[in-house]
Amino acid sequence: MIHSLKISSYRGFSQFEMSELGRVNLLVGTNNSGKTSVLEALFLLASVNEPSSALWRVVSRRGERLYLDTPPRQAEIEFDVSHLFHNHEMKVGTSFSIATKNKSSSRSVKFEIQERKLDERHKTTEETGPQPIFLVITQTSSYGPPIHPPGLLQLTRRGGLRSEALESPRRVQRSLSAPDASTVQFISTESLSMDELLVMWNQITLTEAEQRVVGAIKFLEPKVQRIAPIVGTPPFYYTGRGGFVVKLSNIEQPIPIGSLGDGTWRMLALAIALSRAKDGILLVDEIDTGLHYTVMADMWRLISETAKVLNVQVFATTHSYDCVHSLAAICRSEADEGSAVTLQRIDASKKKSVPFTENEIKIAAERQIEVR
Amino acid sequence: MSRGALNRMLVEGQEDKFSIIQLMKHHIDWPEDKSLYPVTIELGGSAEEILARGFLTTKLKSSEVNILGVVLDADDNCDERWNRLRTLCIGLFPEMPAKLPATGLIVDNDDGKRFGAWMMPDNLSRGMLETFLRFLVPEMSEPILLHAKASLSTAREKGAPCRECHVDKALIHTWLAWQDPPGESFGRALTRKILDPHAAAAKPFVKWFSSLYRI
Repeated sequence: MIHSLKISSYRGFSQFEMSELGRVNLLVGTNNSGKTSVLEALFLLASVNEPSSALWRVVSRRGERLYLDTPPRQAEIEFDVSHLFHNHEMKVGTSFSIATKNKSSSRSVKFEIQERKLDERHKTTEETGPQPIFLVITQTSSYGPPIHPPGLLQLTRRGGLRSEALESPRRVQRSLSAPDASTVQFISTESLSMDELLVMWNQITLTEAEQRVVGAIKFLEPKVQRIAPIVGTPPFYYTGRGGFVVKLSNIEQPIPIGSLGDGTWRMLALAIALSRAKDGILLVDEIDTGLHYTVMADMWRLISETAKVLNVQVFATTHSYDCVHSLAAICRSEADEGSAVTLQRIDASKKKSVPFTENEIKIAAERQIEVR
Repeated sequence: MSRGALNRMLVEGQEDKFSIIQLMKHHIDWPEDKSLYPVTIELGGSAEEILARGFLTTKLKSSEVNILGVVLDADDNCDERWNRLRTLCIGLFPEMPAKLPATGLIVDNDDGKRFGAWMMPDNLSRGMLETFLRFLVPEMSEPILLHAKASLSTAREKGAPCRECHVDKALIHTWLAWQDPPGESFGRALTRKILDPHAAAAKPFVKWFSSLYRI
């Protein structure tokens, strides 16, 4: 379990530290305080075997593309990685890094812009001008020497990242798995897509985890008896929230899960992703999205209990007062040191987050103290 | 947000709150409009509730506070109360002194927060708000106050149920009962200068309050 996190020169953070982390951590702060950036940083670090595709997911989710004069073809879309760097400044030598400490180990990842000579075999005739630039990904772990050779992502002349760079032969090798690699699941504000959920569903079907997911949906709709994916129809047939049906106790035929509302989809994503994050990390941006305040305490109980059983560490963000105060439902007043649940207030202009213990979260709820 | 929104003060009760506001009105600019108050004074409940584990730290870490002042009655034991306060807050303010300064506590931390504490009456003696106010009785009224004191003793000898720990309260209320108009609240007595807001005994508190909130 991660005890502390240190971020250097990533997005809005010059230097930032978060400590006293617990099993369930709720991140609060004003707009643009950097909550999502903290989740991204954890995602980039935890995606130890796939740092380049994690990076791709981060920039594409934010839509950080380079603007072109003419409409590009799909293959020519360039993502603008400069926004990952503090103050959006990217030149040779600039870097950002993320490091975490556990009880007995530490791990870090550094992304640096470097000029490098290309191997002869990759050279093309036009590459006689300036040296090509790369985004170099270096991972270290206290378990021993660097886990992988550094990952190299070639950038275009304008500093853009194309999808073909991810396919280059010098990307981080997938086959080498780090000894302390962990699973990481990231649920953004848009939740998970149907495709993603279907893949995960296949992995939990007919297991205990499936029961847990049905239990979670019951918090929102007690009449739900079963959930099932629709097989045999290609996924593109469904849009948005298709792909799953539910059986309600009072209706004979199954109904599409999309008919039950946003909260159900959100809870489904949460419950499935949590089950798939065993021994790893679950990251959830704006966890309260679509959920009525009356179910939030149940949601926290589900997360807290499942996270404990499956050894998952959870990091979530929120702006919601109800979400913060319902967190008190899983807090113990006697817990001060070594809290299993923490609230962390984030402010990009400060060097450290402000951590609240379980007891303090309870007091904030009871005495209506504003901690966001 | 008003200028005083992030300047907060916790007190034990309504009388403390209005006494402090009316006293400070004679010394600093304090508009009538509540939204423009330079400091937001809140009722924190009893001393036990204010000193409940986790309350002050949550308040200090909260986003609604930049400067937090606490005014507590010393009651029987100023040192004991100070030690509890110190133990609760030293994690956030490592520079808390071992002894409560006679001028009141003001400490800052790296997070940009400021914390202040005052134990009524004077950060040293046993007592409460009423003990502090007793010293704001104008000098010319001192004989009346002595007479009130004697009367209070007599009344207690005759079986008045007033407890020993409440003698300071009973004394100031008795004295106020004999003023014109009789029986004003502490706040109104300060507004009408029945109690002297410029008395020498008020100065250290006024100075502490102004320095704490940088007024």
